[in-house]
Amino acid sequence: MTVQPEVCGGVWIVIAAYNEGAVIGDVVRPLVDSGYDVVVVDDGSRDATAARAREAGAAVLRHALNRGQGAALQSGLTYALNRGAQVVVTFDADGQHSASDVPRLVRPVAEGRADVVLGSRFLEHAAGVPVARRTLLRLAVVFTGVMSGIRLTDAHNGLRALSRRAAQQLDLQLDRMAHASEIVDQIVRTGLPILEVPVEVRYTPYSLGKGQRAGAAARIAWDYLLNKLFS
Amino acid sequence: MSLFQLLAVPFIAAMLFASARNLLKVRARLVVSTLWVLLWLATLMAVIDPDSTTQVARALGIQRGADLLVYSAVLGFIVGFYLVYLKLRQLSREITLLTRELAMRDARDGPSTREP
Repeated sequence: MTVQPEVCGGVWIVIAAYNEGAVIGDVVRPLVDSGYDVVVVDDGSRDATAARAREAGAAVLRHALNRGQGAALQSGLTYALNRGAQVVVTFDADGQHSASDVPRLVRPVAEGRADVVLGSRFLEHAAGVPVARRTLLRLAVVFTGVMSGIRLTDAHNGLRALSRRAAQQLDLQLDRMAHASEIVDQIVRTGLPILEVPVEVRYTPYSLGKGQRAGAAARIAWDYLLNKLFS
Repeated sequence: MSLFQLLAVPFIAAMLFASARNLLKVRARLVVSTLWVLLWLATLMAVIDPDSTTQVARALGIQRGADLLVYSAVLGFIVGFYLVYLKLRQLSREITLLTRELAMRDARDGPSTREP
């Protein structure tokens, strides 16, 4: 898919990466080639993630300590906003997402139809999602629905686009994986228009190995609820 | 005096002395310092005269002094854990903010980025 130049300018892709040296170059390159500004937040990796990302053409922020995906995304968001980003797209580092989906997410923001566009793997491509993963994600959708009061089809998809004003209002406190629910929560509270668009999520043995399991899901719910209770 | 009292009293007296000195020297955290002094005083009293805990317990509607100590200890632990948990959360948050600040300072721009 070719990218329209007018939806490239001011678009920043934020990628949080932890020990993704093996794949990060292949993730960054198509995005840079499409004309996007890319920032990779190396979240205290012990491998060559930062070097590979830089070689592929990304700006690199390096967390000296591993603080979790939520913390890394917030760092990337802040960096992109400081650089004058008009649209910020969050993108997973493990190769699940494809660069060709980015224009679909950016367009509604660029056209002013939405401030937040969330990628959903269940709007068109649901068949490719492994059954165990699908069940877990359905639970996440219900959980997010109950807690944030919004009906989504996919609650924990790392591919999303935020307008500048939406990104400015985010202040992620949940450092680990529960940030996905927290993002939805904070966005709903701003009252800014939200849209879901279909995106493809590629399940490879690598990305499945990196993905969230049931135990991690319980941890996400626990982190999220604790934060609700104590903040 | 029992062996336990021989061992415990000097230790508690030292802790009482330290917290009292802290109360007099450091005016900040007055409430917390005062509470520590009161806690060590009560502990000292309970060790020297164990029956006194029963009198306090009766006054509070509890039968035995030992029960009062168990209830107080459990409550103390719960409050303690809660305070430590809050402190840990705050520390974790501060570490994240510090990590972010350092990352921002050392940010390296890639070839694709342009100066604003």
